[in-house]
Amino acid sequence: MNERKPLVLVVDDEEANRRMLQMMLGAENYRVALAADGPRALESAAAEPPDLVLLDVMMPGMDGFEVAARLKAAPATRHVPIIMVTALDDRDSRLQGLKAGAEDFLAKPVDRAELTVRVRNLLKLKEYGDFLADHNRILEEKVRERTRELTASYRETILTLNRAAAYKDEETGAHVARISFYTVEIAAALGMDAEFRDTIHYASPMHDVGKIAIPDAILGKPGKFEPHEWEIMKTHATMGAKLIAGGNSPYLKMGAEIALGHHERWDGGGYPAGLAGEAIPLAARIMQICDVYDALRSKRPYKPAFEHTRALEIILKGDGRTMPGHFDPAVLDAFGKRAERCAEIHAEHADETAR
Amino acid sequence: MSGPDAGQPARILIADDEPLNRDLMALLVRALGHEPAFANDGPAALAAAAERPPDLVLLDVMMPGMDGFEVARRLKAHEATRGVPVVIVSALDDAQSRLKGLAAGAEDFLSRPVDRSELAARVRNLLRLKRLQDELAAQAATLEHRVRLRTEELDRGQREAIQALLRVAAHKDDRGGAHVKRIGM
Repeated sequence: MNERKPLVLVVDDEEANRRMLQMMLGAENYRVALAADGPRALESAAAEPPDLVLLDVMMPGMDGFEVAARLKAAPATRHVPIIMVTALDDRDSRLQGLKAGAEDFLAKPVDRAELTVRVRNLLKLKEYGDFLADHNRILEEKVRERTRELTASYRETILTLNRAAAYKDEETGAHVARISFYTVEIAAALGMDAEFRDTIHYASPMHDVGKIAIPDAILGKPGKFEPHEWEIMKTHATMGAKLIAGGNSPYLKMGAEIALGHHERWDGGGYPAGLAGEAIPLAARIMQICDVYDALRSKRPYKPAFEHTRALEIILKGDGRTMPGHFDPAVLDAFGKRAERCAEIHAEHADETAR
Repeated sequence: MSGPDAGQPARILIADDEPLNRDLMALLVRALGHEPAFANDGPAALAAAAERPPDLVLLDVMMPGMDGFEVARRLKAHEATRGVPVVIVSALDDAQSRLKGLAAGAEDFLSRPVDRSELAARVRNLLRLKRLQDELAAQAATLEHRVRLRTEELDRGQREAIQALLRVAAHKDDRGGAHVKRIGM
């Protein structure tokens, strides 16, 4: 599992003992570090945490128990196994060693076979423990690696769906890209995890998919809508959700939530259901503010394209049409924090004027 | 005295022909919070281990008939008992036995008279090592399982996305006001 040779720190005040252990461990193909007293052992362990410590109990100054207790108290060396080297008949030392956190013992004079098995067992314990601590992260990486192709083709399908969803939108492909990035920014500012951010990135462009079902005569009308036309226009939210809902795909599920809820308002004054507060899914609340911002920045038959500062001011303070009470306060706050990033996204993905 | 994280009680097979030794060892094993099982010779130890593999074996070397080394060798030769840690229990000055135990595949040693702290340390470390080894072995199977689940999930998602795309495409050709009613708005 690990190609690196394990490092064993030998701590003994007697040079002859250090030499002998160094020789035996060297023969087993381990790297060996030597320390002649407690303070130097701690120094060495701090500089390069060993994989195992062979620790003499009886040393002048700082004894082995104190060294063990300090190694077990430091986060960097807490998981390093310790073998205490004790006198054969010293039962008290072994008991005290266990209490100080030592993993095992070796009796003096050191028997070679005992040294071999004990060092081997504790190094394995450390290696497996370290390995399994990373177990889930490594496993997830491997799963991702093995399913990479399928994930890519799945996303490709979602992107195709996104392009189809934008087919009748009055906006351009650049709008779709901007929405993806805005929503991810707001989600990040709200502290949402990587999975949510990935999902909203691919789900938010489907928000207006229901416009496919709105007649061109209404969708493309330059002036104000007649009341009955406005009623039909509003069906795009429900329509969109119907087109993409029904499955378990996280992208489509969130896409449907967004399509259905992105014209709802926090104060309950939106459509189609007039939902208020947290009854509106979070993804839709995020989408709503991003959609409003992007619409404010864009030219419409009834309004010019506003500069970033003006658009931000309208969202934060209101202008009679748009009011701060329309937005979830937490989402509004997150938007305020990432407003500059949204301006950059708008600049990076500007509409092509040639269209 | 129990180890700092002794965890679940383990089943520990004590193989020794001396009843007094078995009783003494059982006392120590119970004090560690584990459950002893007994065998009074080599063949009995192998039979007990085959019937229900213990979590650890404390194996006396000097038994009449089949000695501890042979028992260790046979335990390590069988698939079902290979992973069970074996601790050879021998006399203090018996360096020869330790070398033979090592060659027979034993995981560690314990000297007589048995010291409580040594027994506690050895049992704790070997049980922990066994548990980690089992987890590692399970990892390969876990990976396959998780890849399969993820593949199914992605497959299903993709099919759903394609169906949604087809529904959207069908609407693109279907203009005019009447369809809105047909959809059931």
